[in-house]
Amino acid sequence: MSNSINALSLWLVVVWPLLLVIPALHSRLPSPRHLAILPAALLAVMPGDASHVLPWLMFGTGLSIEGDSRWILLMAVTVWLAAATVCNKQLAQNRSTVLFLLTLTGNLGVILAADLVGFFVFAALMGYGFYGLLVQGSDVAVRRAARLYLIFLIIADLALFEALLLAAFATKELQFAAVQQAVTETPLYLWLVFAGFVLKAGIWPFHLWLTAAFKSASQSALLLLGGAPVAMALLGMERWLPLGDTAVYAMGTVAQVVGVAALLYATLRFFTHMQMKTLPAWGLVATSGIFVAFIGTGLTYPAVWQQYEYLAYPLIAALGLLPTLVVIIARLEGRHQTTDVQLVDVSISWAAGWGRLIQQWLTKSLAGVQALAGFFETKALELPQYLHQWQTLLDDAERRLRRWTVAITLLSLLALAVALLAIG
Amino acid sequence: MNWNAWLPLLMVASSLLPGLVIFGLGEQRFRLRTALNLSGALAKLALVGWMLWGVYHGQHFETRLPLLPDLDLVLRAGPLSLLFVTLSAGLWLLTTIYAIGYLEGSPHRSRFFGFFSLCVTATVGVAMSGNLITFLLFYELLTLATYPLIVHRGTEEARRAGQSYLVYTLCGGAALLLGTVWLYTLTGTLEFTPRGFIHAVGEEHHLALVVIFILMIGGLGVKAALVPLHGWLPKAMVAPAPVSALLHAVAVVKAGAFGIIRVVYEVFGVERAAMLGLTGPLAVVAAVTIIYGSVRALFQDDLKRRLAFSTISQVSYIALGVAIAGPIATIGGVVHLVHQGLMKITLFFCAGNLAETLGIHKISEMNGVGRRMPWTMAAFTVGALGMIGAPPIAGFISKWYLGLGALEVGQGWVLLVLAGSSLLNAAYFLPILYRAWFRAPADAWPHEHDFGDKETAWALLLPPVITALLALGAGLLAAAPFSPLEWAQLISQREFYQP
Amino acid sequence: MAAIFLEIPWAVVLILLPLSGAMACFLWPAVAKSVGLVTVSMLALSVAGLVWQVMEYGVYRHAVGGWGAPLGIDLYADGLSLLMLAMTALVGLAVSIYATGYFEQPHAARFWPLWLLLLAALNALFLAADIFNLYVTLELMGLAAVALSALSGSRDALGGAMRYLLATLLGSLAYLFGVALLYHGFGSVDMAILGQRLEATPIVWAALALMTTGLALKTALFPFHFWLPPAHASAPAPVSAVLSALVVKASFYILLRLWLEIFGPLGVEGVETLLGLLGAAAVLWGSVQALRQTRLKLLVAYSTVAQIGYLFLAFPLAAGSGITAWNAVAYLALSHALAKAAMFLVAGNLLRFGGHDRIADLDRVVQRLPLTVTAFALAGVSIMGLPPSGGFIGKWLLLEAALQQGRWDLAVVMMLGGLLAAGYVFKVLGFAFTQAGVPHESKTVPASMEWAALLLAVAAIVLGFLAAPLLALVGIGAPFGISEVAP
Repeated sequence: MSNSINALSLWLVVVWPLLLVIPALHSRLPSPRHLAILPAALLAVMPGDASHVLPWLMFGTGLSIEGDSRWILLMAVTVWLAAATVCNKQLAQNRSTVLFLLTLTGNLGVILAADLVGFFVFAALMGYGFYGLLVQGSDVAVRRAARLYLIFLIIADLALFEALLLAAFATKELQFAAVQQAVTETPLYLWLVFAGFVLKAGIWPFHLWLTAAFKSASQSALLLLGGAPVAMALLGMERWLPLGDTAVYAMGTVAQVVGVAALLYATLRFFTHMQMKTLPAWGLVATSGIFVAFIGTGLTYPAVWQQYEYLAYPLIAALGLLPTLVVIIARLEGRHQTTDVQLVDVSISWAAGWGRLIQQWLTKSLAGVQALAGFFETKALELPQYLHQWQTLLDDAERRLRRWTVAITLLSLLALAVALLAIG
Repeated sequence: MNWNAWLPLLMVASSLLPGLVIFGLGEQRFRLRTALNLSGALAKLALVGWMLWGVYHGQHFETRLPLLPDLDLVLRAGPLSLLFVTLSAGLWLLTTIYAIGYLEGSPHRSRFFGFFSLCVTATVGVAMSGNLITFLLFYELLTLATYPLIVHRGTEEARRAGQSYLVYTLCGGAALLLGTVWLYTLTGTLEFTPRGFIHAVGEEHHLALVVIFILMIGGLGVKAALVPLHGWLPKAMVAPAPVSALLHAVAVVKAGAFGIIRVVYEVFGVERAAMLGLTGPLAVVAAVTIIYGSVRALFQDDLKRRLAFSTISQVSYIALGVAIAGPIATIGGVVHLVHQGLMKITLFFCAGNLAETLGIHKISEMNGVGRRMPWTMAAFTVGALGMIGAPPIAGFISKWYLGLGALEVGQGWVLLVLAGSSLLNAAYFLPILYRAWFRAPADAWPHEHDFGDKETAWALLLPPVITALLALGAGLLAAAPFSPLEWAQLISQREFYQP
Repeated sequence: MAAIFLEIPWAVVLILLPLSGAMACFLWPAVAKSVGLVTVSMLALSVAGLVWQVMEYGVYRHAVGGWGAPLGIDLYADGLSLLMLAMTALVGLAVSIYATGYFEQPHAARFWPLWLLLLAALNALFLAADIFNLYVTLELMGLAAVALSALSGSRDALGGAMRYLLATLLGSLAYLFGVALLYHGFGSVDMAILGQRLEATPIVWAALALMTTGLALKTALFPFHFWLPPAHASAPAPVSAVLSALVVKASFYILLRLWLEIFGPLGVEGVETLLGLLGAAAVLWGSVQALRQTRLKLLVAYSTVAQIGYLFLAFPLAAGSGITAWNAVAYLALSHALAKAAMFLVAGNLLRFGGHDRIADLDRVVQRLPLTVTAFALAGVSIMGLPPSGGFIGKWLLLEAALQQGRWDLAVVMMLGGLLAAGYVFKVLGFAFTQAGVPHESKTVPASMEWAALLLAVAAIVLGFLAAPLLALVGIGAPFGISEVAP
């Protein structure tokens, strides 16, 4: 009995928001966004661990909740509730509700996922849904930032997919613990995972979209920036990497360097520009830098990790709540700041410029290949025209054959040839 | 002959006979024509169900008719045949419904549906063929039956597209015929056997076998749109949308890919083919096609042409899975046969809907169409995301197995190809989705038809939604019993040596 | 009851029936149509009877007037003859049905006697067992065919017929010389006896040379095909059908028989190679010329030239491939007869409907005659050698024979021929689907004409599935093996 209640409560967290996506349903219910978070809230306060696996779903995936991940679930519930409350007053249309619900499902699923595949699937859902939330009803600057986010997201997902394949190749079971043990021999896996989650989380030096979005994104998107992409990516880093088992010096050192650099950079940038509106953004960059450095230390010194790993989840939770807190404070204070768009534009357009160059190069080489591929076909279709050119020649030949002198000559030649061949 | 021997023949006849009758009907006999079409499609589906049930219980279905003094026409139900036949029969029913809605009011409908039925007859024959000569027979019949569908509209452009199609496919057919006859003179038999039937051919014929392989794959590669034999495909987009849907998801392109699977696994045997050094070049050709198709797709503004190049790219996944020559890669290649069919037909149905309801042919005209036609664009989104490889839609499963299979045989470079292809797919599909959902629409659609309150006609809306759901289900429930994935695993087991 | 049917000498009936029919049509022209149709139907039944008889009793040999060889005339029917007779009966029946709709008085009165005479000559030719008899029937057939092609009486028709007449006489003359030489050398004209007695002497070589040359001219082998297109262009459609389908096959049949029974065992590989070479040239030349034509009837005529070439490709292959090559020849000859006759009947329909046969303007005509277009398409499938059709079976067998012996050159020629054939067939069919412009005045085409063409084309396709029983039939009496000794 308790087994099925556990299963039900776990799956309901993910399935309920998905159900609400159906327009017929959510247009009838009052405040559907708040309602969607309800099962998650209940699960967060329910005592005891739970887990359930469905063998027929995809490759056999499941959900689970354990002691420490409760922190993260609580953080997510809080952040989403705040977002739901804020945007109730804004565009309460079908499309934004759908996007909200989809991203919410993804987020909750990521937290509850019990194995790599489930994590990946829900993270993909959340990532693309968040893109939709960013882009909605926004101005040019935010759309540019969102495009950059999308590009990073796609590359990150690709890297994570390859890492997933490597993990599947190394071990049959894809639960986190099993994978962590099996992949310590595969450095490629580690690099791919690191790169993927760095891109997703907007860690320096890939933080451009994060800070740009903070300039003028909608309130709800701002609130979610911390809880959704950044926090979940850091969670992924923590779960996918084999921390606390063996030491991985190269990657650990790199992570430490990146983390510290991020912290320094963020502090410098903030204090040179000093705009309250961007405080949450740089704060995020800084905090995520701290976390990455933490991870790096854990990779280099497994013993240290085992001592302090209980700090990881609360840190992620705090990180997620950060933008929410700051936004709420800012609203209470009611300050407005001007935006600083140019710098962002330059950096993004630099990336776009490279993209255009590659496109031009591709077009030129494509024209060449196209010509080659079409060669055969044009030659074949030109056959009737070739024949046309030979028309007079062919007609002439036929006419010659028709003359009796020619015919009789040929006949005699044939008779002679046959006779000779028969003899020989 | 007992019932088990009749069933495969009946399966072929269930679309041939309605087709022949439809040819004789006048244009106005709308009801009778619809009735014939649907009854034929349902009958075929029922027969497929019967056959599946029978095979599951260990029965044997085979029709054998003498064709030449020492060669028979063989129609047989094996796991691979049943996979393709089920796909064809199911998608034929949906495409028929779609076509009835799409072509309402156009001229020459009897002629269209007659050749449509012939096309499906040929496809089912290709699927059920038990030896190379039967395969060849139905393969060429497919060429002849699809030509009138491509030139259906009767414009100058259509005629030239048909001409191009014929040049390519008839040359391909000639190569295939040459290869088949040559192989017959070497081996004395043409029956499809798991793990191949060329064991007895000695070492001295090594070169001959290589040339035969090239001829056969070349002949099949024309229909499967391997670069550089793909030139007919984008031009054939001039045909009406149901034709593009059928051709690119089910019939012609799949027949070519299916033929490649048959030749590599059940004529040569994948292990023997690898020993002869044939699978490496095939993998390279497949990889080049995958990348080339995706890159060309990036630069197309016409929606159907972009989808055409996407097809060229995606079908080569099947060839790649075959060429990697490992059990897991085989699963990936074979299951992609089904998955790509479902996803691609969804995309083409949606493109047809856009053209028919709003007159949209170009991507630049698609701004904000998601608000006007939400269900259609939702289905399109599912299909497009599946093509990119986003979980949990079916395309993800295929890429998973292809990647794992590549790792299994140590061909890591394939992972790069898969990654690059996913990236390119995202680059040309996501902008479409963005335009449809997040841009404001223009003032007026190019050519709007009025459907009242509804988004579009039921016959046009239902098929893409159903296929999108099937694509989602095939991915989500991949590990469930009777999923396409499990079927592909069964097929893969038979083709490899089990000690 | 069945026993009585088996005892009737069907072979004799096959010759006498059309002769008497011809005379009746000549004497009573008013009922020529009905008499002709009845006669041809009875012919078809007689062929069926003969087939049954041969299947029951084996090879049929009948001494006319009780005087056997070497003095008298023998009638001989084995599998190959049966195939030819069946071909004649089928095509003859379809053409006759067509002709009832096509010809009106006074043409009909001239057509039917000549047509029945032609049929009688053909049947006698296929049943002949000695080379002089072959000459007589060959000459008779040729004269009847010439007269038929001049039927319309126009200047072009007379010109074409004249050329045809001269060519046919020249060919027969050469053949006759060959017969005379053989008779002089070995004292008999019976093929079986000659086969036994023949040795490699200069007389034989000279006879071989003359007979081959003469028959090659009559079969329109490249480069002696010059008489075929003009004769076809101006002859009435049913006459063209018969010319291409039956008449040229008759002279080929004689060449084949000579080869199998008399000259083949001599081991004349050089000649075989030469014939193969000429056949390959015919395939390529005829196909290329067909692609260029602007008139439908000329296109189909050149297609005949090409298809005849295929038949000659078997000569170099026969030595090494057993009976596969000869089986291919038999099948190709039969399916070509059906398909080509269908194509010419289609051309006749289009001509009747629109008044012209220019290919470029066909789209206005073609769309109003769906049955006719279908007939052309199905016949085209057989000509191209695409499955499922008789042409495909023949092509398969010939390819098999070629590849077995590593004759790549011939295989490539065959594939090229098929592709070029696709070119000229789809040149015409492409117009079936285009949007027609302004349709112009048309005359109605009788249903009998459309259905005759369609049924012939369908028969060509159905042939694709009857290979096993048909080839078994052809094998009766082992025509492709060593011939039986005459009692």
